[in-house]
Amino acid sequence: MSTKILIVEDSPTTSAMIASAIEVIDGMEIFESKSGFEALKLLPHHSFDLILTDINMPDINGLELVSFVKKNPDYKHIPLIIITTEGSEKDKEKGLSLGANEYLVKPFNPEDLQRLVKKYLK
Amino acid sequence: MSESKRDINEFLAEVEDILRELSSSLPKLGEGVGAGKVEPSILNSIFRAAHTLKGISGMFGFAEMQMLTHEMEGMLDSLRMGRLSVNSEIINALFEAVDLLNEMVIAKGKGEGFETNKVDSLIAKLNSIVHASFPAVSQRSGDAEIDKNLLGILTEYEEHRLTENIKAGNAILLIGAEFSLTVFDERLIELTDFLKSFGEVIATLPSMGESKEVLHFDILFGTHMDTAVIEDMFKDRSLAVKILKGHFLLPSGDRKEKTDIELPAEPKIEETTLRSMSNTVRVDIRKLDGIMNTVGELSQIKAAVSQIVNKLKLEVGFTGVAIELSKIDKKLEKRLNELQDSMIEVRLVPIQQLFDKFVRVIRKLSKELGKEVKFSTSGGDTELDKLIVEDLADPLMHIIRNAIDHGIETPAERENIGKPRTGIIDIKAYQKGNHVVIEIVDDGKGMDVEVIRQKAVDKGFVDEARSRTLSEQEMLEFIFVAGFSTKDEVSETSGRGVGMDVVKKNIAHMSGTVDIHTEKGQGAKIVITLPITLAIIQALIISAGARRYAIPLGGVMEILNICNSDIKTMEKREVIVVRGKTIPVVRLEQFFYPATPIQEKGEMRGIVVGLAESMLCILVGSIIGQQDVVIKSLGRIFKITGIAGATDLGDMGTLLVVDTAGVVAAAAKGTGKRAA
Repeated sequence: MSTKILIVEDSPTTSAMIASAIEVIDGMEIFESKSGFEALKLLPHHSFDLILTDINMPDINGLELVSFVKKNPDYKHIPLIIITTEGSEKDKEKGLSLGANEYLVKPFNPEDLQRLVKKYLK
Repeated sequence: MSESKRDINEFLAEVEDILRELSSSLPKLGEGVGAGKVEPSILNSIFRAAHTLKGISGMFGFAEMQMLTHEMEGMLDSLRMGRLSVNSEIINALFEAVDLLNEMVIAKGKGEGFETNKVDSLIAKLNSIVHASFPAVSQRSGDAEIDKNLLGILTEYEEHRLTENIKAGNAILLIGAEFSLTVFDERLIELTDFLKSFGEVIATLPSMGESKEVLHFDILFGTHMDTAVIEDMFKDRSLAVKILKGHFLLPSGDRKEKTDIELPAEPKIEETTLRSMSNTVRVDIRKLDGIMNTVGELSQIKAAVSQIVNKLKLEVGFTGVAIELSKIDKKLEKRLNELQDSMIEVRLVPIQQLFDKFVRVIRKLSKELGKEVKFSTSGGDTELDKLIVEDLADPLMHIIRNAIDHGIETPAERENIGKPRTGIIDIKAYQKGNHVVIEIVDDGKGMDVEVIRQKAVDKGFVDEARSRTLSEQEMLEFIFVAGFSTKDEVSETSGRGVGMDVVKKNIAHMSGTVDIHTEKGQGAKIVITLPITLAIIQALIISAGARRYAIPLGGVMEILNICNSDIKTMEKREVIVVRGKTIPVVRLEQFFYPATPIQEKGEMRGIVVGLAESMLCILVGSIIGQQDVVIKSLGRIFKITGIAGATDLGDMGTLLVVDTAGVVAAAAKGTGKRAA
């Protein structure tokens, strides 16, 4: 069975780079959503094994998404990694206190991302 | 594969999108500063643009772009967080940054390097602005009334906006709404757009609804309106309004009348299947060209099938199989037409993309030239073929440069003659049948026909006596002649070696026309007419001598029956006179094969083409029919004057497509020689 990963990122280029960094790991099925709204629509229809999200997004932002996922009995078990640029430390800390498992700073090293993904999958 | 895929094209496309967005939002920010009220959401969207640019340039390791956008992001963060106030210096610096980023993208696209000292000096400038400004005093005021759990979800920025709303004495409401999973995005956008008209949507917090198929949203909303009025508005709605901080202005009796804002109609919740997640795809235009070619070939195959159907009808009569086949053939035709129409449709992009690019250039230019210009556009949603929009950028830019440089007067000059200090440049686009018309209007000094006439005489384009007989429109034509410029010294703005002749040529290449209307002292209007798409064109299939050609119908004005006796010779050029107007003649057979003797026999057809003001009558043998054709390039090796490409017509073989613009241009230069 494949491992389902949800990427929530409004920049198509960044999303593609995140996807290409993790698709090298065996058995990955990657879903890309370019907004928090899209992520909300995808969540009930797939059982995701991991969510990677940006913070700064247009409709609902990453923190709102983290809060939604972690407060929801159906989803709160899903590990969640925030991937965002440096700056706004407070937002990252808030993300962690809302239940995000980790954060990774952009620009990231593909190996670092792969290591994190593997850590939360097994 | 160990290295992540770094698709530079995708990167460039996204950067271009963001820069375009910035080009349209920065002027709005500027207007806000002018009006003394900066819209927080605009500021935040500009921040997010810089933030994304920084993120992606970092991922691609473009250090100088990353440094510049990092500096922009920092400044914009200070602005949106209220640590710094926006002023015109900041806006100018941001415009400068967007310009520089555009240059960088172009350099990156060509794989060229970039002068880093330009970046360094702009970074230093942004830095000094941030440090020289007095920081706005940030004071946290009592958000004690707001739930700690709620505050825990808000980003630093949202928290700041909440504080600002409280500071302004606004009411803070939490509006709860439930929507079905399938339609929540549309409904929510509708609701927030409505709310934005009388307050600020600070945050949208999703949570689980009663079932998996329902989502609950809490909208944190700040408004200056009376809380009771708002409550009244939301009464009887499926929305729960919770007042976190009230704001009561009116005694209760007056509230009813003030409720004059109509809520959007209660949406019907449709429980349908999961909708597609992404609504757009980015496709390389060459792929579309490929599909388009296939569609074109398909319609030619279809034409062959139709011929067989007709043959069958003749041979076996209109019975049995022939009827069935004929019906299917009709259906096929209908679907093919639909396919062709939708292929054309997907190539179309709104011309607004182009308009947005001009905003910055106009700003920069008018500043450099010491002029004040207000730029307005309308009809930005008019759609044109992507390739035409690309090719239109340079000619339009040239026209706009001319308008600022030569047209619009300096503020002092304008005041002297009783015009408002600020000149106007207005671009209007609209669709007219299968064409798009673009009008560029300025209220500057217009063109002086007498000056143009004198210049044309001085430059030897026309002799003094003849120039006196020309109409105003004919004199304006000189503007399109190579080497003509009404300003004596070549200015840096308009005189970069290209003139209106190049503009006309480029537009003629897109099968378009340019017209000038002007009134001395009042301004000028330049009207460009273009076909909506170039990919599939309607063409006349004609014969000239032993050969057949396709002539694009776009520029054809009329078709005449012509006898040899209709053709006169004037100044060694063959001409015909149509309704009193003298039109030069080109014999298509002799145009391509000058050695072929002219046959002195019977009737011919004259195809009158008009391209950007020049008219020409192309003489051909007979007209075979009219057909949609897909033009294919002959490649760079076969560059033949007067040939635009080739098209495959199935049964009729491969025909050359005549480049009417090329024939008109060549005829204007060399007909005399050929006829002699």
